[in-house]
Amino acid sequence: MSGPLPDDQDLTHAAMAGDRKAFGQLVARHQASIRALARRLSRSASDGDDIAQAAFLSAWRRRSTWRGGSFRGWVCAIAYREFLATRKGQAFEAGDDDQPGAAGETGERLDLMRAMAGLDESERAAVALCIGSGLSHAEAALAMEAPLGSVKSWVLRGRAKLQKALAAYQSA
Amino acid sequence: MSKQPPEWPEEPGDDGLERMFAAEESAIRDNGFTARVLEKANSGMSFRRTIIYGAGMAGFGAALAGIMEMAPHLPKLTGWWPGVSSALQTSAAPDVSSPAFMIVAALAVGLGFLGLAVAAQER
Repeated sequence: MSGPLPDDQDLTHAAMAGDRKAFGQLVARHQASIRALARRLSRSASDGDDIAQAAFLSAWRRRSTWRGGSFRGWVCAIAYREFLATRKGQAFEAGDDDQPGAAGETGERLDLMRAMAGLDESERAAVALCIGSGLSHAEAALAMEAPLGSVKSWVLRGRAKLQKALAAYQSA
Repeated sequence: MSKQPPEWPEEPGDDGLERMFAAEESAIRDNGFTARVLEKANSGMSFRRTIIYGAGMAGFGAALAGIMEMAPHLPKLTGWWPGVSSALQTSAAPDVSSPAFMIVAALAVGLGFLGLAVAAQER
């Protein structure tokens, strides 16, 4: 027997009330998105996955602090803070295994990784949160604890730089 | 240089970037990630609770035991607060044999444990 899949809002309410099964469904549903964000921030697949795991665990342990809103947006903000906290303890220098292309990326995925690596840290974070993860500028500003205007500016500049870099890769 | 697939847009615009990010995300497979998160969520919680509440109770117990042990030496209730106040005022060079000072110290230890427990719980 299988009914319609529960929507995120129902699952989130259940998970925040302590329902482990609902939390598991949310993790399964959003793991790719959160891992992608964390990988973009850290520029490393392995560090990114560690950050994503820490973010989900932190979300579960601090579920009493959830104040509504989308689960994904909330965990994205936690992942960004986990990234900052992890970065304090170590410099994210991409190792041999984490260089663009090392994991078999080709074509536009490889170009995107290289273009993202060329952004400033704030631009990369804002682009990853807004364009990559689909957060609104306001949500990203909350997550980054930065002024809304700055976030808009970082996204605009980051987008322009990405477009320029990708166009250059295309014409090369 | 990398070869682009035929769907590559002439000028990567909004749709191009978002599509590329989405393609990158869709390439990420679970590969046991969810199971690992749930396993840690299940095991970490009980362990953490045991440690945190155990430490909190130990701190509270230590503070309480200190007070109980000093019961014969406790100042009279009527003069309790002035005793504490004077102990606090002379805290630059506290008289550790003073019951009032010991009460303040024991309570500080208990509150310290409680603060640590709350901070650890939130972390």
